[in-house]
Amino acid sequence: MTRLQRLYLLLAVTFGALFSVLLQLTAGWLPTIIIGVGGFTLGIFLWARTSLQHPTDPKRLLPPYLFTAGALMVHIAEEYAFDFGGRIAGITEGKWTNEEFLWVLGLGYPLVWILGAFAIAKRHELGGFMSWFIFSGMLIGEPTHLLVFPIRESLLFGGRYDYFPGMWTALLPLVTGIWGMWVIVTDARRRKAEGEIVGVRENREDAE
Amino acid sequence: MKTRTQSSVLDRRYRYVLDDEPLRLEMPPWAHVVSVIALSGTILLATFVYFGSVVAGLISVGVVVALTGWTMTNYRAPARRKIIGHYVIATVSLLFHASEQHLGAYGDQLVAMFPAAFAPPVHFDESKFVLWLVLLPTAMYLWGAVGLFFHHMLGSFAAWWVFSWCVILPVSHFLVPIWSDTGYQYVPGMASAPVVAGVGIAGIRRMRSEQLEKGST
Repeated sequence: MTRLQRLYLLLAVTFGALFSVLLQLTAGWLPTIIIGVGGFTLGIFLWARTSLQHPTDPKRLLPPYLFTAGALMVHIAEEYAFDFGGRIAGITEGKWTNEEFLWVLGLGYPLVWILGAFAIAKRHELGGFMSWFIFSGMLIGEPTHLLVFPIRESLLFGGRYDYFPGMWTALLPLVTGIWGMWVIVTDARRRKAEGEIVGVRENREDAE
Repeated sequence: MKTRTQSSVLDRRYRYVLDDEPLRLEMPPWAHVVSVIALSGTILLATFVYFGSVVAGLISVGVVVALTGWTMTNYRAPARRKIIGHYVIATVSLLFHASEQHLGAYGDQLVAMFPAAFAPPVHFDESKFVLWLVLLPTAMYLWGAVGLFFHHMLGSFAAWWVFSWCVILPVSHFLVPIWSDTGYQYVPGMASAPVVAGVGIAGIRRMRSEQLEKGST
């Protein structure tokens, strides 16, 4: 790993840690564990093993990334429309409001992950980090809308398994996220096998 | 009831018509512009019905500008793929701009500036602004980027729409208060307007200048 790659790793860890702290302060422990700790840890690990040293060909990665980013915005729209923040607060410590949810996950964080597409187009290593953060977040976070939240709610308050905000669109970004993971892994394996090192600036022209 | 002889005649006839050679979906050249006009028209009517004339009027200006720019330039000569970087920056700019708008409760202020235009049965407020004019359109812009990536005509329209909206929406913040019932005032979005408009103008110029050869895709 080069010095620059170590710097990017440090930046990514710092970003993930700050994001997790923000989530804990606003949303409480459940979203923090799922997205901040689970998605972030898995994302960092897989990024370090794949596209940190072998940035993915943007011609292959951009379509699944853009599909996932768009699907995630639709999912967030459903969550916002049906008070996801308030419902999560009801099954955790009761801190999150829908307005806080909107600012963190509807307006703030999307600024970062949409910029991730720009980094991917430039074949930058941090684009690889953002793609892994999103994809692993989808892998861990989306099934919880169907398998964790509604069950916890029914256990806490009684009643049957029922609608929880975000359920109907939860699997869409999961499917496109898995597609994106497959692209990154297969691309990294191929480049590793070819002994190609793409992180160096001189090799970036062919990615344009 | 079919006899064996009649079945085999039908089988022989249709076997030659519907074989399994690879085919491409062929669409007439006017299909995309007709689709965009139909979809845009429907969205504009729905916006008018549910959100009133002010919001529908703003969006209609964007549709006219985007349609005109698209049909005159990239309809037959797609934009170069590397414009995607600029398109992403424009999408981020619009979302950042929306953050300033939401901070100042733009949707509620619009209603306060034009109470007659937003009287029932029209129902528009801040939450509807965020859901229908920020979050869902951002998703559409990101999917539009996929079309731009694959040199699809609708991708070029998406780019024209995003870049045009980057100019029209911020500029409207300075013009709309002129006709309001509450007098000229700060409209949420004014602060970030120059940056967003600059990104949009640069994008429009690139769409006009960076095109592939006609018919190259």
